[in-house]
Amino acid sequence: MNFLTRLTQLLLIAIPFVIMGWLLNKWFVLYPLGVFVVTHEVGDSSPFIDELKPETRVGELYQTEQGDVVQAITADPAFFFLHPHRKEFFELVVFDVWFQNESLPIVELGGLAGVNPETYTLLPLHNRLIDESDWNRIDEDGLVLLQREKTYGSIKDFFANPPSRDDVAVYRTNLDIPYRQDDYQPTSATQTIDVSLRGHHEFKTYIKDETLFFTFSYMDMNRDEGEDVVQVTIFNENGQPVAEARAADDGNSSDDAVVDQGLKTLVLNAYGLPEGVYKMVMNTTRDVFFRKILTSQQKIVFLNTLFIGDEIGYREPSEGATMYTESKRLRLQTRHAEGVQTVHAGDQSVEVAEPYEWYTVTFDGEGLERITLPTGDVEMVTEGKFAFSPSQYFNPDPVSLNAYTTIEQLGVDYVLAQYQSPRQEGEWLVATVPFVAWDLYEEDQTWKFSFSTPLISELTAQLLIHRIDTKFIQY
Amino acid sequence: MIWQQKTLKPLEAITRTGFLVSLVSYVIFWLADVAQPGFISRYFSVHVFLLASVVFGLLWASVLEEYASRPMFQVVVALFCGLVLAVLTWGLAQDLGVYRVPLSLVSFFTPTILYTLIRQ
Repeated sequence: MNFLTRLTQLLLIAIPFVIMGWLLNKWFVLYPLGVFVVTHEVGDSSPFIDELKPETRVGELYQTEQGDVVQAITADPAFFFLHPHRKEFFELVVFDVWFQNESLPIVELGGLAGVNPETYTLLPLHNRLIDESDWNRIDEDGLVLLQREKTYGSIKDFFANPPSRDDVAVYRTNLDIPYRQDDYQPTSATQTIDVSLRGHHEFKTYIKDETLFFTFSYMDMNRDEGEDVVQVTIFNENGQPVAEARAADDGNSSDDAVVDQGLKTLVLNAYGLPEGVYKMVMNTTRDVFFRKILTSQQKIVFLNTLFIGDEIGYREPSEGATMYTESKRLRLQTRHAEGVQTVHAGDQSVEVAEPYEWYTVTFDGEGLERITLPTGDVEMVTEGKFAFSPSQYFNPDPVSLNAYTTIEQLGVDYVLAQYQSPRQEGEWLVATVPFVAWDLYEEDQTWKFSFSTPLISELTAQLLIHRIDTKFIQY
Repeated sequence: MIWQQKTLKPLEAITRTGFLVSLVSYVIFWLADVAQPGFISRYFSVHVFLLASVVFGLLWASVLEEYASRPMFQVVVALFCGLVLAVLTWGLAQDLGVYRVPLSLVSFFTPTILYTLIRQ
């Protein structure tokens, strides 16, 4: 009896020690060493992963005949939050997403990498354009090469003896064939881009035997709280920063909308840069409106996003903007009643009728299309590029495979993609997507991930999600 | 009734151990979670220990035959509880500025004052 009493007491004392050991193992990721696994079926409650949101873009949970719980994504974008218990501890976050996709051409998962503006690192889950292509296919080291006619025996051969860059389309990878304009001649003439650009923008320019020269004239409108530092950085073709100009805040970090008189200027000169394409990042807050850009460069194309700002306190009435693009699809939005207007895009007129409503414009023809905004205060998003005059337009990047085209429409003979097709698990496709932890934007110990499902509304399609398993990996 | 006393003693020892282990574990696990939010609560509910301490406490009280008052021990427990409450108040009252110190002091002395009142 005495022995049994002692044994019971010992067991009672051991219980909290065992629980503490189990918790320490979870915290320090001792077994398996450096790998913390969270398995999650949609609908399950988890301290690490939230349910899919928003409710307006996802369907109700339901169970299949096989007993799998499923949730449908019905509009773009749907997202979820991930709460790592030790975010600084892990270097890689790897998702295994179990899904079914019957009709969407491309499905991707994006990790929020920055805010103001929100930027995502997108990685492919399912590319049906590639998977269902009848072109010759080679898979090597996470890369896929599609060939209209089989020319190369391996991707190594392709890189050793690449075709013309005009013959290659890329998807989520770069083509290491530099863009060069043989007939380009530098000039000393200066041109002005007289358009109000609000906040962060990125553009590319081309240089050959000339000084890179830009003068940015801007106003700090002080509409939001916080300092408004302006920073313009030049990156070379290898993505390395080669020059930078920076201007401090005007000393007013409040949201009183009091603006200093006149335009401030930021000058960026870079001498002796070798020939090539340079990317410029205008990094600042939405309080900063670039009113004019002076440059001696002839080729300038803005990438993906333009925010044509209002001109209140600068010049009234606003003069709006005219721009050119080769993109076949772009989206527009204004956030204010003053930004409601009729936009002329090619031979179409598009009514931007309500604030916070996205309007889509599609072009069927080839070549540059002209877009005119009578007044500003409009954000424009596209997968391509914009220029503010036809002569400034150039496309230094290879053709990109996206959801709005087919491979045949691209007019190329090769497609190079960083892509691994999802594996089949029963009736589910399982895609493995790894994100580098330091590349993710963190707030309140939370990361945000978003499913990119272009054309989901147009095709009235849906993406069925069954599981999102996560591995947090420490090297 | 000697035979009854013999059967109760082990039960008293077990329930007493269960009560003390549960109570101490509850405090330690709770403080660990306050010090490192999520360390415990992401995987385990500390309130399991509280429930266990209530159950063991009631069982212990039902089998307890002789109660010995230990005033010194009770004062030490009251002071310990006061210390825990003061630490928690200090942490939770971050935004209260100058009121942080007096509130923490009130928290520290509250268990001792309550104990004194009960004794009286």
